[in-house]
Amino acid sequence: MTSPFLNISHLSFQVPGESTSIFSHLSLEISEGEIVAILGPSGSGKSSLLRIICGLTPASSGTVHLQGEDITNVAPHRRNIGMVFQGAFLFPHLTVSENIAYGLKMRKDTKESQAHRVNEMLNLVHMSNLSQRDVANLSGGETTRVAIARALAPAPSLLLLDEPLTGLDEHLRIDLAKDLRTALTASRITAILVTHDRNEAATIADRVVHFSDLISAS
Amino acid sequence: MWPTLVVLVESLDQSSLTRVLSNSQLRQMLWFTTWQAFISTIATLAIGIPAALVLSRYSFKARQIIRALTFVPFVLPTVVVGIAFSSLSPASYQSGPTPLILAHIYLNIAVVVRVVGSRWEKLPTAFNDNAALLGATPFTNFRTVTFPLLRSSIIGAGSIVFIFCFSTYGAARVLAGPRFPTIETEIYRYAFFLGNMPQASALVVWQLFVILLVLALTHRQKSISLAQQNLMPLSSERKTKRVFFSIAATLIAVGTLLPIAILLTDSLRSSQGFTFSYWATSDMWTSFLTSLGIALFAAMMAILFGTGSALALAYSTRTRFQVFVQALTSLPIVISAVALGLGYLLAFRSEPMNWRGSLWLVAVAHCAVALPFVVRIITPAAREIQPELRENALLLGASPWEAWKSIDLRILLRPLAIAASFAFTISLGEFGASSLLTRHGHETLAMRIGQLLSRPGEQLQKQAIASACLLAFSCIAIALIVEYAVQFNRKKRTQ
Repeated sequence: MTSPFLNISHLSFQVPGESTSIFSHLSLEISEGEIVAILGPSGSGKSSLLRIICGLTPASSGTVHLQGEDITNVAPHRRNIGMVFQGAFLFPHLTVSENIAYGLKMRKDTKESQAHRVNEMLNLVHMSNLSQRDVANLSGGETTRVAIARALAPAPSLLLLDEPLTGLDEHLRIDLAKDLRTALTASRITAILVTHDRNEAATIADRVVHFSDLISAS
Repeated sequence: MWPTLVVLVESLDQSSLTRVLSNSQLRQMLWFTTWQAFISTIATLAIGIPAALVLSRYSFKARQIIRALTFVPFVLPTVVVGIAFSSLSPASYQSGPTPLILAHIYLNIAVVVRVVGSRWEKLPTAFNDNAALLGATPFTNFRTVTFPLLRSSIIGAGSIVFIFCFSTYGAARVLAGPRFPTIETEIYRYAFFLGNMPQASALVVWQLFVILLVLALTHRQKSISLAQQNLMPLSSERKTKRVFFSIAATLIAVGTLLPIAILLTDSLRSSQGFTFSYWATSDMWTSFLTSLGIALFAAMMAILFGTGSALALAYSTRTRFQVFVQALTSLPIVISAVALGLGYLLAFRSEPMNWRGSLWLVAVAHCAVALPFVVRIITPAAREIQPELRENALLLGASPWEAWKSIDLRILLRPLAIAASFAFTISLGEFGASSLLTRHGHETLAMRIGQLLSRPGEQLQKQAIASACLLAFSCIAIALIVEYAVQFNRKKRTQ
């Protein structure tokens, strides 16, 4: 039997110094290429779970295995996991292209290879005409598109999406959700989307799970 | 402005300007002043930037107290810090470039922590998180994300520190020693001991030239505007990071308090043992009262003129007028305290305005030194007051004066209190201008310290240390009282 692509086992998280746990004994298995949406109310710990998976926040206990390798204690920059944060957080001192190329530079890709990949990503998110624009002059929807392209550019093993469409108006969210689904399937990437919007989850993901269902009774 | 013009005229009349470069001793002095200021600036940034990181990136229990502590050296008179570092250093290193540079680092850390730290507080951690997830190592993360976004504040802080170190006087008088004169100590020597006013004025012009050059090279740094962020709790970070930050925060607190603690123990110790005798000299308390009187007068004037200038800057929509007021009130930063004192000395040396030696002229000079700080504290607060608030008050029946008093003045009370305490402490510790303007018998406490230090004998040196302690604790007490009053008032309003 092959091991799952991502295996989260009995993960618990408690803020040091505080008595109550955010969550305990959380387990989740995801297959390669699968897009999973986790639904749950605000404050339930969905974002903390994503931060633990990518290594930005340490778990109190439990393990995270990616492609069979235990990455629980691996530094975030060595995990090859991408993330789109709520609010995007594009680097304000870089242009659209430079933002997308950032991860490629870190990977020490050649200039030609970077330029090729950046163009590919710009096409994927329909932003080819704005490559040299200052990120301060982008609309909310454009900002989200660039954040998705930036996270996808270095071809991460796993992509985490923390409510990436929050704050956008209804029509834009519907359009972007469809485009995001297209971009993710075209990239054949394994992804976890965290959201509290059922429609968004259904549009983007292959499988929808409730956060509370991931926590075992033990 | 007039005293500055007098200095310029005095130097331009003579061939003294060129003499500075042809005289090898003066050339050497200029070179020493420049390189010690440069090294001091780099070292202050090297220590101040990590300190800013510790105090502005995460929230933890003692953060506010330690951050307030880092500001203590900035309100301490430079001559006091000079004595403290002289006491701290081993006998063979009590004077020279090393203790001077260390004292400059101590004095100016607060500038870096405040300027760089307040920018760092606005950098969302998500920028660094994103960079890390895209493969950036911690060092690359700093180099490619944090540093470019902090660059404007680092250069801004660096230029301020350089100007302060280039214009060093109190610390240099105590620590540099006769072998290493700085431009400020030389201006004082030429004006006060040699009576060579043209040469002193020429040095002021050279000093002004270097400072303006630094400002010209460092101003107009492009800065991306960022909104204030909530600090992440340190408790949610990994254990190694928590331990590192706790050790660093403790080191900052200890490093800030150590020189003052050593100064205090030194003032209470004689060759016979523990003693209060150095604190019981009537001269010290007379000078202290003189200092308090001058500081009160100087602070009142600084608040009056500083508030007027700040309001003119905040309310005016005419750019040229704003530039003029800004330039006028910034002049005392560009012109060092000794140069300012020289300007006043030259401007008021002949009848019918021969006011040399009068205490009020000292207070006016102190007011001029404090004025730029007062303007810089009040202006941003005044600019943040929305005109709609005043307009609402007018529509609710308030007269223009009542509207201003009930809205603007109420909002400005906090910055006014902070500015007043700042002006008061600046005047208490002012040494540069006072050195040239104070007449014998009316010395301020800072002046008395300088005089005691220049005379030999353990008794006199210990009296200087006790006076330095009194000055240090007065400055700290004033800063703490105002901080406490402001916090108390804020708490009362939120209950």
